[in-house]
This record gives sequence, structure tokens and C-alpha cells, in this order.
Amino acid sequence: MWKLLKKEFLLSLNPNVIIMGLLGITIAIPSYPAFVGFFYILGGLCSIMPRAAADKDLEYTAMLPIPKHQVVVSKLLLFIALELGTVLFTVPFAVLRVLVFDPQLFAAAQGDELASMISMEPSLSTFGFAFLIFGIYNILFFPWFYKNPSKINAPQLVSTLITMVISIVFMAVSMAIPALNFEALQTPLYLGIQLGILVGGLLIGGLLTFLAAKLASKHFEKVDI
Amino acid sequence: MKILTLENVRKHYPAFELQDVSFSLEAGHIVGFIGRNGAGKTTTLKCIYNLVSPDGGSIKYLDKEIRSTEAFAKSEIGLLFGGIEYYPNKKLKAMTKITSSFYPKWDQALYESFVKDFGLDESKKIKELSNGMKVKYGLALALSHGAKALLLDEPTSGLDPVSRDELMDIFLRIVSDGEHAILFSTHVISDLEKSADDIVYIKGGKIIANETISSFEKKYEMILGEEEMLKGQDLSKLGYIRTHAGKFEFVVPVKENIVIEGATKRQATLEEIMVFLERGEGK
Repeated sequence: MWKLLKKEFLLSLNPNVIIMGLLGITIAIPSYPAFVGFFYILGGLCSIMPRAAADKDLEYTAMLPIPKHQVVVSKLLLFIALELGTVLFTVPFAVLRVLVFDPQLFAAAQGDELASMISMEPSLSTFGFAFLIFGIYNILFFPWFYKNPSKINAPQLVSTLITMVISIVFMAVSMAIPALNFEALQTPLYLGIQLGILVGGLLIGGLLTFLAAKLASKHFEKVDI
Repeated sequence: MKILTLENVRKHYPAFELQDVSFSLEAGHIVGFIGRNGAGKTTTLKCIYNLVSPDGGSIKYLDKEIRSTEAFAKSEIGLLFGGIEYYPNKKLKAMTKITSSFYPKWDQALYESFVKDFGLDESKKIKELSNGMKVKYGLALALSHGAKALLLDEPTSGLDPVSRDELMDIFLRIVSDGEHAILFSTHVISDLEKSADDIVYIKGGKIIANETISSFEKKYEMILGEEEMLKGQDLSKLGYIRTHAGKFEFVVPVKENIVIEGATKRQATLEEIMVFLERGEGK
């Protein structure tokens, strides 16, 4: 597994994708919708497969002494590493933002009345939703793409668009429901709800990614390279 | 000892079909895999490596189905399609470092000796290599991971005559221990004549010959003569007849015992048999 991941990072990965993940730092910007920090890496993930196709990455990987289904696993590991890496990278900046700035006061000081009324701050549920959207992206993209790896555009475009739409819904929900605000963490009940979303997002996102690996591997076994 | 055994391997495509392909690769042997472009050579090699899923049949490495021991079998079988064309912007050194990490029997000293012998510059990027160098780099990788069987799809294409000759010597050296075997496809018949013991000849997805080169050649004869000698002959049975400057020549199976008065006969070469068999198709 580590060999595959190393191969993905050293041979396959375009460094620009990491830069897209690093843009998750925007989660630290006051009054900026926290969830947008995860949009950039979704854009970055879109550049992986076209680059891999140009590099004949799939053909190379299939020639390595690994079972055929691990060609899928290899690429999925890269996606998971980038997704998880982005989430972990944003955590300290999210903490920094909520510790340094009083969100409501900052928004009011900027004269942004709407922002002062609704919360765009990162909270525990933000990360739960992040795990969930990455799981959704993986289950949409991987099984579809590995049915016919020579066709990248349709699975990529549709999977990304659907994930973005769902992300916007989560973002709206996060901002509109007081229980999901950062301030709500001081209330035990709301803290429980947010923890539930965090753990639930992690579990469901993980399960969706696991299913993505299973389905995509099954599809790819039938593909002639 | 049979290193690789294919039995009745089938693969159906709308425009092409691999039909009950059966042959084996014996340790200590070099086998030439011949046939026209599109005859099924590459598809067969891809089936062995599970790059193409066969519709039926059995492919065994030693005594085990390759699909049930895929990772192990792939580490014991080297496969190379022409030259290395992956990751054009990566340097050879980076490619080798990653590739070698997957092979438990990787022999770095042997690899370095090939790098030296082939004149490879590891600081170059893949895209900076000539076609011949890409083939040599692929060979250096394939020959260094301790494979018992080497499957090489046109390994000599793009190589100059000296490099081809050197490669044939390397092949002979590899199999001389009686533990390794090589199957390689080529259109350069002289390469086969230098090194191969046997041929597997595939035509239209079917194996039509699987034997030693000499026994195959003995089955065919070349008949040569003046064009006027053909008058009154039933030419429809003779397949492709080459005529030039008033002379004719064609290849027929010895068992057909064709007699043309005044014409001479001699044993056909492998290249002549291939050309006349393929060009005689549909005649």
C-alpha cells in the first residue's frame, strides 16, 4: 500500500494539486465561508486523471507486479491522501480563526450585517460534512470512471458538479442552523449534534469510499487495457 | 520444465477473435512469436499479464493459474511492449527507483550493468530518449527484476543492427542456465534465426505452428522457375505466386508434392514461408 502511495506521489501527482489543497488555508479568513476551503481540492482532483492519461499511468501501474484491482486502489489512495491531507491541514487554521477572531464582532465591524447574522465559521460539523462530500465524490467518480478509463470527462464533470451542489447545500445548512455554529459548541446538546455529524461524516464518507473501491475494482477487472 | 502454459485461451472482439490459443514456454528456450500485425500477438501477451481478460481458457505460471497468483506471477514474468513511454517528464532514475521497489528480486548491480552496456543516461527524462534508447531502457528494467520468463513484444524494433545482435546474445546468455525462458515477437526474422529455438506462429487469432524453426521450415518448399513453366497449371491451388522478369517463385507445403516440370525446389526459409502464407490468404 505504501509503495503504491509513494509511486502515486513521486510519479503520478501534479504538484499543483497539492497547492490546490493548501488553498484550504482560506478557512482562516474571517467572514469567509469556511466550507469553501474544501472546494479547491475538488478542483485539484479533477486534474489528476487527465495528467495520468497523458503519462500512461494506468498502463504502467497495470504492468507492475500487483493484482489488477490494485491499479484502482493505487489511485484511490492518492485521492484519499489528498482529501484527508486537506482536512488535516485546515484544522489548525480553523482553530486559529475561531480563537483569534470573534466572528460576529468581526462581521459587524466590517459592516456586513448578513454575515453577522449567520455563521460562516468552521465548527466540528464543517469537518463532518467535508468527510461526507469527499466520500460522495469518490463513490460517484471512481466506479463510473473505471468502467471505461479512456473516457474521463463525463464522470469527472458530473461527479464534481453533483459534489459541488451537495457541498453548497451543506454550506447553507451549516450557516442557517444555529446548532451547527461554532458558538453552539458551548451548549452540550449542540456539541453532541456536531460531534455526531463529525463522526457520522467520517464513517459514512469512509464507507462510501470503501464501496467506491469495491465497485471500481469490480468494473476495472473487466476492462481491457 | 514448463514455465508458462496457455491452453485454449479465447478472446472475442467484434472485429477480431483469439481462438483457442495454446502453447507453452519451456525453461532454457527462446521462442519467437510471429505473425502479421493484428494477428493476435499483443492480445495474447496482454492476456498472460491480465491486462486483457480472456473469455476462456487457462494461463498458468508453473502449475498455478496466473489470475490466482497475479502479483507473484507478474514479478516472475517480465513483459515489455516496445520501449518505455510512461511519464515522459520523469527522469530514468526516478522511474527506476519506484519500479524497482515493487520487485523483491530486483538486482541493482545487474541493472547498472545494463545501463552501462546500453549507454543509458539516468539523468535524462524519458521524453529525451530516442526510440531505440526507450527500448533499451525497457529491456534494462525487464531484465533486472529476476523474471523467470520474459515476454517481449518487438524488443528489437528501433534498435540498430549492432544493438540487435547484442540483445540476441543477452537472450542466449539469460536462458543458458536452463531456468529462464524468453518469448519475443518480432518482424525481423533474422533475429529469430540468431537466437530462437522454437516459433509460435499466430495467424488470424489462431496458432498455426508451434514447433522448432527447423521442423517448421522442413514442412515447406520454395519452387522456382520460368513463368512459361506455369502454363497449363492449376494456379488456384498454389497460393501467392511472385513473378518478376519472366521468373516465378512460390512456397507450398511439402506434403502437397507439387511438381512443375523444369522448375527447381529448395527448402523455404522462415521469412519466405511467412510472406507466401500471408500473401496467399484468400487466393
